[in-house]
Amino acid sequence: MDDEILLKVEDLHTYFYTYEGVVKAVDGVSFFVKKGEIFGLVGETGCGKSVTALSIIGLIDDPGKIVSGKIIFQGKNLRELPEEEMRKIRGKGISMIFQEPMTALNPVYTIGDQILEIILLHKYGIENIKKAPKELKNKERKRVIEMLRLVRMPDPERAIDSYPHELSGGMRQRAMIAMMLATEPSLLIADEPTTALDVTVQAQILNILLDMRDKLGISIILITHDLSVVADVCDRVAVMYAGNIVEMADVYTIFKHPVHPYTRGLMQAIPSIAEKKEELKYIKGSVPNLIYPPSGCRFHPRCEYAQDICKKERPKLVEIEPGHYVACHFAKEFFEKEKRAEGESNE
Amino acid sequence: MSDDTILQIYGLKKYFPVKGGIFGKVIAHVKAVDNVSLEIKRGETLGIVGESGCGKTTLGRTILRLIKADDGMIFFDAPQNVQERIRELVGKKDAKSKRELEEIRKKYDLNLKKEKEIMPYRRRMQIVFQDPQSSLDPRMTVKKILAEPLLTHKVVPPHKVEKRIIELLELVGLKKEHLHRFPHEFSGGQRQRIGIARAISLNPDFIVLDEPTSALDVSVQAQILNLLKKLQRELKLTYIFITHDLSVARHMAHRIGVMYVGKLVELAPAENLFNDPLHPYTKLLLESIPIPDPTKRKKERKLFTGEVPSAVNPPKGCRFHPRCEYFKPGICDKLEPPLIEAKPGHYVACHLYTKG
Repeated sequence: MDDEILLKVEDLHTYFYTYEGVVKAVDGVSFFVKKGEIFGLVGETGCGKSVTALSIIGLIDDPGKIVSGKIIFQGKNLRELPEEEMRKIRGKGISMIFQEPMTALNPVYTIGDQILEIILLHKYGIENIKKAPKELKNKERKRVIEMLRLVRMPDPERAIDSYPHELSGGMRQRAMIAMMLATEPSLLIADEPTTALDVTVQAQILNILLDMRDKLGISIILITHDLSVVADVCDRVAVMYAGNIVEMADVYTIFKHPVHPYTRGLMQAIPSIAEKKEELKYIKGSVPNLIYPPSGCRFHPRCEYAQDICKKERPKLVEIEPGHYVACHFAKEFFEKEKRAEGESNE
Repeated sequence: MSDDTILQIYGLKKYFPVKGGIFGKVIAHVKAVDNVSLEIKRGETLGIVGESGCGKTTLGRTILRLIKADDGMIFFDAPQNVQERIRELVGKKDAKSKRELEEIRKKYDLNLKKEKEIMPYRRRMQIVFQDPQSSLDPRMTVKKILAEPLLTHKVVPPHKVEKRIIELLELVGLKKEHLHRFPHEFSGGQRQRIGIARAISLNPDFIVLDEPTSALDVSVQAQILNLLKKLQRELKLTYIFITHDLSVARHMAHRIGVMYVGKLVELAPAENLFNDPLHPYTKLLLESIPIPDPTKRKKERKLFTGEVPSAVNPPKGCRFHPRCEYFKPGICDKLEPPLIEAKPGHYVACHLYTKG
């Protein structure tokens, strides 16, 4: 089974050294992504999901630093690669799209030029890009139009010569995806790609991501705060809380038997269009400060089941059934209770 | 919820001028709210949903007269016999009825009142904004923020202000200790609680909630939604709940209005809207929302196309026609569909349901 694993992150720690103290944004995160799957990374603001992504692609900048851990991509530990090698991985190996495409695109170049630049950069290297002959550019231009068509950009022949401000939010995100796919990466990291978009456009962008996976066979890490989006498109999910992964499983398992109290709390807190609940359940309190995170299990101050051990010892991520990992001292108990309850309701 | 109406709106319009050229001439108009009519019952929550730029926020603000409408009538808590008469007179074309309506408008229409005459209404109609970060003055303590409306409207004598503020804080789930803190010392959810405390401080009857939970995380959103429901029950409030999130609207609202490019395209009791949506746009919206249950994934994913058009030059006729799968040339692109009652209490503006 190991050969189908594309990316493996082991015990990753990324800290930010600020004036107020050390922010432990990612503190011991481990997970893996299989080939051709859409892996969801969910959590609330400040849980470390974006920092995890930036660590993988090697874009952590001062005052942040990857303190320890391994990031193994296609058999290579990315943390040991020299910057030059890493630059080749970025784009050809791993690409990333961001939440706000307007800030990620360059406002003074047409989107066609921006996509072309990336294609030429990866084909001919950074030194030769300026010398690239005209015919080559014209040839590659056709590929750009093809890429835009692939992401269902309306009227791609016209869009290629548009500047970012001339496009709508959805079209910009499409241009962004086309750009990131132009280098044929094997892993695409999408950081809240639909958060800034309207629902009807969100549905279009999610369809494109599914399409890309099916047609190009790429793996996608989808970072989102929206559990409904996860339920809609992901194959496997990891739930993050305050710099840790608290639960990881395939999407059907986690929605059917959420075990960690935080995962369960999150699921009960979302209002649903399918049924009307009179009162929403919620998790008391709010997300902790990561300079002084709570001792032991970081969720314990908000957890209704917290015992003494939760304050003292940090729970490890353990496999409670095949493929289902939970970091909670009482994972086994919750899991068995959950199974028993299900057995009873089936009878 | 009772049967008497608290708010009546007829033909509300707000066009924002678009200026261009070196002399700043008005070259076009953004038709943010275009001919919207509504009624809201006392104690009801009316959800207004739609995508960005559909005019839902502008609608909320014109009702409160934070923005002055260009045209239309707003009647707030008029006597019942007057309300009846207004309903009869609206839409009548003869000179006598028009004159009578003019008389009533002079007395009751908020849109015709002067700024000074509005003050008593301001006390009774309040708003909670989306972003509690920018709607609270960073240099004021919670005490000052909450004292301001109380002193301006003189609803409690000065020596009782502090007592009232503490009462308000407790009502929204904050504590006495928070009195002397500044907004930045609070989390997003707590800040929104302060915003809510400010809105209810004058004992209003009616509150416009403009995306009150969009800036919050789900676990905190649930807390705020529960709080708003509790306050509505205890203080007998009427809400307009503006949101882009249909699942939140379903959770909160008794009735829901769907807006598209400045127009109200559908208005129905929440259950009916979700179980039996009539307008093709509402159907599209509902199909676009991911459901938080992977076993309910749609087997065949629909090919969604198109985006919301600009409100500067909205499409002619029905504004949804370029994206509509039931588009009928010659009708949908020529005639604007009126909002009609297709089923009891269920209104829709679409040619599929207009007779003849």
